[in-house]
Amino acid sequence: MARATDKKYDHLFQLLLCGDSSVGKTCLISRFADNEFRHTHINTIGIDFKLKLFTIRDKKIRMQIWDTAGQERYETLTAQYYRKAQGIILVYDITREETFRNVTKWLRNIEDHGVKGVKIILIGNKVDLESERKISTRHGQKLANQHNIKFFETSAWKDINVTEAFTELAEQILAKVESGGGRDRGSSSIRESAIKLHEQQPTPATKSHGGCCSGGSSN
Amino acid sequence: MTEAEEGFLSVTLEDTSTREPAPVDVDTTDNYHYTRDDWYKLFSQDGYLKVLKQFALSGELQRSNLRSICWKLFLGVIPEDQSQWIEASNLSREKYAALKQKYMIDPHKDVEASLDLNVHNPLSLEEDSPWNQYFQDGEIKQIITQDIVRTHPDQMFFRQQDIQNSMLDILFCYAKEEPDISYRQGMHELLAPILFILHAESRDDVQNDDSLSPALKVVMDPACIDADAFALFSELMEGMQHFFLSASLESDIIRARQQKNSNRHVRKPFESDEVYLPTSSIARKLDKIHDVLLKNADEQLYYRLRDLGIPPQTYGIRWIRLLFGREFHLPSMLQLWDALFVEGNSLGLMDYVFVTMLTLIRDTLLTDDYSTCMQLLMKYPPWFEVSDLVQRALHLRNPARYPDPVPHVREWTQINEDMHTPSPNQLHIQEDRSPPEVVKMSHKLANKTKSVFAQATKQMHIPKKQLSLNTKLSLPKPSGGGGGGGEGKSKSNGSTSAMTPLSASEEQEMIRNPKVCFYIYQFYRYCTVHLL
Repeated sequence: MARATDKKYDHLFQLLLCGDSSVGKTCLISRFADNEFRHTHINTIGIDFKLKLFTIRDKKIRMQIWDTAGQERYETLTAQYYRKAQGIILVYDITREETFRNVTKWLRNIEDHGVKGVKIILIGNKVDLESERKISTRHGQKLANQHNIKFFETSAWKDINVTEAFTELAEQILAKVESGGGRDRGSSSIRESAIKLHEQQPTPATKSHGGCCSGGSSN
Repeated sequence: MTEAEEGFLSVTLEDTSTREPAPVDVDTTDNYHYTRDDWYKLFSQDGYLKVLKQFALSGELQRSNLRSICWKLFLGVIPEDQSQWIEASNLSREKYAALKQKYMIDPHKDVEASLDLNVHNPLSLEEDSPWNQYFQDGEIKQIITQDIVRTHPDQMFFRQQDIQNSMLDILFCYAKEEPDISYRQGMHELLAPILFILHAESRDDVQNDDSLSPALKVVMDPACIDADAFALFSELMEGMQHFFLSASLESDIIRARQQKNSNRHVRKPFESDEVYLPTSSIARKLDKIHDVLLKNADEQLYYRLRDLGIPPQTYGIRWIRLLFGREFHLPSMLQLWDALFVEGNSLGLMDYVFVTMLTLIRDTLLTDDYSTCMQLLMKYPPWFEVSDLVQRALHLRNPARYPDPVPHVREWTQINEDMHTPSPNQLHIQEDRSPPEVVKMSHKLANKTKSVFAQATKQMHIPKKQLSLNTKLSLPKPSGGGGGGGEGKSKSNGSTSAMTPLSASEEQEMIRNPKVCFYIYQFYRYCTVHLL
């Protein structure tokens, strides 16, 4: 039986965060969802889950944010969550080169497991550690441009650009949903049931709406 | 268990439960006396291991200061025969020393005279260059360190540099010794409690007490904590390692092992299908727990979780990999591990604990929406008593041998179910069916509820209407109205009545009534899950 609370939003979006271990995925989510930051976060094992109610353009968006463990790149479970995600936030650490190098691997992973046309943004986190920076903004932007995705540099600690990044992704998904190109459980179905392993729902092709993200290089 | 065993056990149990008060000079050597008492009481009789195992299952080890020895016995680091303890301890310690020497390569210190400089230089591309190895090891160490610095961030014990160094050495040696698996996230949280216990229990006064057995002193040697932690961790990992493999890693290993053994390997019918199944061990285990155990134990809950679309892998990977380490606070977790280790590294009770944990929160899982259920599973409520949990798990596995520990909670659950069905006749509860433990439990719940309430009130963002405990508790009769307890929170009609303290007699009156207890219980759970 559906409760009244189930209807209190216009759209239900599912987001997934991925990236190497210790790049700050959980901290970004904590900052965005609860506006808090802890210097010593326990690491994510398997997968974790957070909810955030969020308003864009007078639309109430309920976000289910899935937090993955950095070491789980090849885990079959994670692959199942890729398939459900409408938006993916890929994170690297600007102070650790290998986390940036692995972005390409993560993108390939998304390509293999994600739905076609899933919205992706790239985040270079920990800009508060400017003195330890190994990856320049230009490098990050260039990689994002190559894959036609939006790029942000953030600090979960200093609360820089975090909400902006999540908002951008939500905007992209909303635009896609409103143009009729995406799955949206919130408005069409009252019952909220997100992860069904056997459910395999291909997204209709939306080439006419500009493919991935037309604003990719405008940042 | 035979009758004779049971008789023996009950005598010993009684013996320990009447633990003598500590002697007068408790202030300085309090724990030590307990250690010595424990030693004489728990380890000096024939067949003591069986008793220890019973203690582990009943929660009695929680009070012991020799838990590390119990774990060593349970996991097979030392045998039951105490005359072999010294030898067994020395063997495993020598092994760790040898591993450290083998794997802790530092080319900086490698000062042999006749070195081939083509190989022995940092820029060498040779495979077997110690420098090449050194750099690869550095990567593994870096991965391990990332997790070590995040181990129990709230516990000062794990912030100490020497503890972190010990963890790194142990996990690194394990990773090198088991290259197929290497280091996987989560192993650090299996090691942490082991190291913690060994440190907490190692005491100089044990070493200085001439009246104690030399075997005990050797087993508890504070100088060998790292080696002992490695031994315990390795034994535990024997049973746990396959839960750390991902599907692709696992099939790679199987394939490699098959190729290695291909000459003598005879393929059984259907074997290949099984072996190349693209799911990991842990995923298969969780499916089995869900599809077999949970379905048998609680079919309604099984179908509910299936309908919600919450596969056990979502929350269960963490439950299993960390042996429920994040689901309980450290002391409770140690108590749970006592029980899990009783069967050595086969961890036989684990699956039943898993299912019991689900059934304990079944009411919310059956009635609430997807997000609430998911949050509850991802952040398991902390209030259940571990000994109760273990008894239920034992009962689930073997109802004939282990009686249902708390039938009255069943009763409350039954009330809840009845509330959702419009059949008022079933709601009648006889007064005389409230045994003393119900009253005892009620007191506990009421006290817990009060403190939760106080906390909840402090958090201003909680709407007052959700705090109207009295509205809910003063329901005189649930006379067929349906929708009582479980849904009370969504039907509180916007009442903003502030909480008025109950008089002592009112409180007594209330908590004697199982139905009220159930409301308190429901409310407490609601507060814990939703408000705190």
